[in-house]
Amino acid sequence: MRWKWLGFTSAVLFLCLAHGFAQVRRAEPRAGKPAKNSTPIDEFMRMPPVERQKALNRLPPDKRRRIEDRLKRFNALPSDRQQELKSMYNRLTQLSAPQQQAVRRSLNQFSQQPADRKQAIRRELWSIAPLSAGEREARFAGAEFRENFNDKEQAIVRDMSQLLPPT
Amino acid sequence: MGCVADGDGAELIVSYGARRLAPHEQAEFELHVRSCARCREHAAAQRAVWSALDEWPGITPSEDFDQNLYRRIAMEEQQAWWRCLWPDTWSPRAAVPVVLACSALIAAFLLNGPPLRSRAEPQFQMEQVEHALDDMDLLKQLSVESH
Repeated sequence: MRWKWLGFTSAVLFLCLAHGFAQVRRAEPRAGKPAKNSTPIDEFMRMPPVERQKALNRLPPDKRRRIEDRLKRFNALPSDRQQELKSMYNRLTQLSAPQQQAVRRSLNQFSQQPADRKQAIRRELWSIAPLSAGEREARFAGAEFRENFNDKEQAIVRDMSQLLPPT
Repeated sequence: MGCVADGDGAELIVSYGARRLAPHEQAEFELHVRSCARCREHAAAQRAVWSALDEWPGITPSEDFDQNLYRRIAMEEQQAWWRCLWPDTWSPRAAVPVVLACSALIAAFLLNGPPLRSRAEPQFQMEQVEHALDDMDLLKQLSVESH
């Protein structure tokens, strides 16, 4: 009788552990990166409307209105533009914390540039988008780049180039 | 008096051993025993049993015997509910693997079950949403549309 008990319980224990490990292994890929181009905004928008409203209602009224307006503006963007922004956002969040900090600082500095310099930086950035990492480095080291941009602008372009899609 | 060792006479011999016979019955039986070897043998055996019982030392219960007894009965009644859950026939050896199996089940559920939502989660999520919106605003300056 005792051996029957031990055999049965050992079998149950083994099955439970095997099931647990199998589940953990299956769950591992899910625990890593979020779905492609999924952002906290997407996760929020995927919530049931009632839950979404509850979450917003917990905020102070001013903040709630501000976020609602910004969400509305973002959702009003054409879908290809939303996708482009989400891709850049995900590349930004995949960088290390110091790199993210540097890119955000450069983005802020970029926003403070005069319109013509902004346009020049933006044009430079998208012109190097199709280049490989090595080609980009060669471009940054070249005379033309150094002549067209001052040190601060060069740093902005270098930092923001990390947001470009990989080639 | 005839031989009483067989049949109903056995009761008479037992009563004689226990000294429960009336004086005249005892005298009559003793008269018979003198002449009947079988009855003498049975009577002697009965006497020996009763003498042994007479020599048995009596056990005197302690003064608080009743009190202790009732207290223990009350305790048994109070413990009865968990005895239903844990029958006496269960042995700890058998219970150990059961407990381990249950622990494994709980661990598997906790590892793989649906995530438990805490009350702080929505607030945290709203902060993430707000930060994402901040980043999106910064990134908008770079988007193709802004060329």
